[in-house]
Amino acid sequence: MAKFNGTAIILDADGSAVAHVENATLTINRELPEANDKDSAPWADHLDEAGLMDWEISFDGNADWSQTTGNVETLFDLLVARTAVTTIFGIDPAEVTGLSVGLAFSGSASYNSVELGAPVEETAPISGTAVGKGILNKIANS
Amino acid sequence: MNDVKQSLQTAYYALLNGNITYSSTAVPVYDVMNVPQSPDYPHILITDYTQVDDSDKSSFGEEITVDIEIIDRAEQRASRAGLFSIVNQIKNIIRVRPEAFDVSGWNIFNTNLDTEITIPKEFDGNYIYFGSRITFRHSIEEL
Repeated sequence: MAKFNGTAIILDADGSAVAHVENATLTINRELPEANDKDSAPWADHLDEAGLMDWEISFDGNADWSQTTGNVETLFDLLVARTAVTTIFGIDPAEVTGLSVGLAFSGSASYNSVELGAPVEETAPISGTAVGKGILNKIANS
Repeated sequence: MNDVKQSLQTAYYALLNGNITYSSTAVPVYDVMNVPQSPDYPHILITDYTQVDDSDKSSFGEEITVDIEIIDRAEQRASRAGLFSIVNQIKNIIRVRPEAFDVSGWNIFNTNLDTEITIPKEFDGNYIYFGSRITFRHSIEEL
């Protein structure tokens, strides 16, 4: 099995899946400090055992404005709490026939952006980002 | 590259046959080319397929659509509540998470309801025939 349905890849924030997500993207970055000099020229060089790593998750979907249960209130609360929460991005084996354990990434993340739209006669959208605070681990999700 | 239709149709038959009821009676499932001369009504037909290649450099794959028709008849006026109940049951079996299909040799990793249309009624002099056509779309990887 090599191909998976993206629907089965879940964004979980502080113990609950973020509801009504249409798409989510996990971006993991690593800085590559330049180490160019006359000896490396004309090829670019960088340091391999240095540089910061960071990660962030962006997502978008449909906004649920229901009081207390909607994703608008949930994400707003995560943002204004100003506290990083456990965030998991990965496959949910319960959503995939024949898969007992899948790969997921887990770390502490701060929800730093929530954008809400109000288009006329269209589904109300929501989008946002969470920025990793510290290490991102790979875990076995079962 | 193998063809998935035979395996997929067997899976459809296994999922639907005996598991769809109307008025406490199982609704029969037929291949469109193998309908009895005097079939029971309503009944379910497995009809048309479309396939397009969706392979990558590592594995063969395709997108395939399967048409399921539900055919009922009435002498004059009729409620379509039975028809809609059968459609509802089929969707609850085929369009579920996790995937309903566990087919040896294939990874059916996505199933969507592509379209559904009601079939225009036809009168043959004795009965009015009516029904629905549901098209399901599957993303499939050959294992």
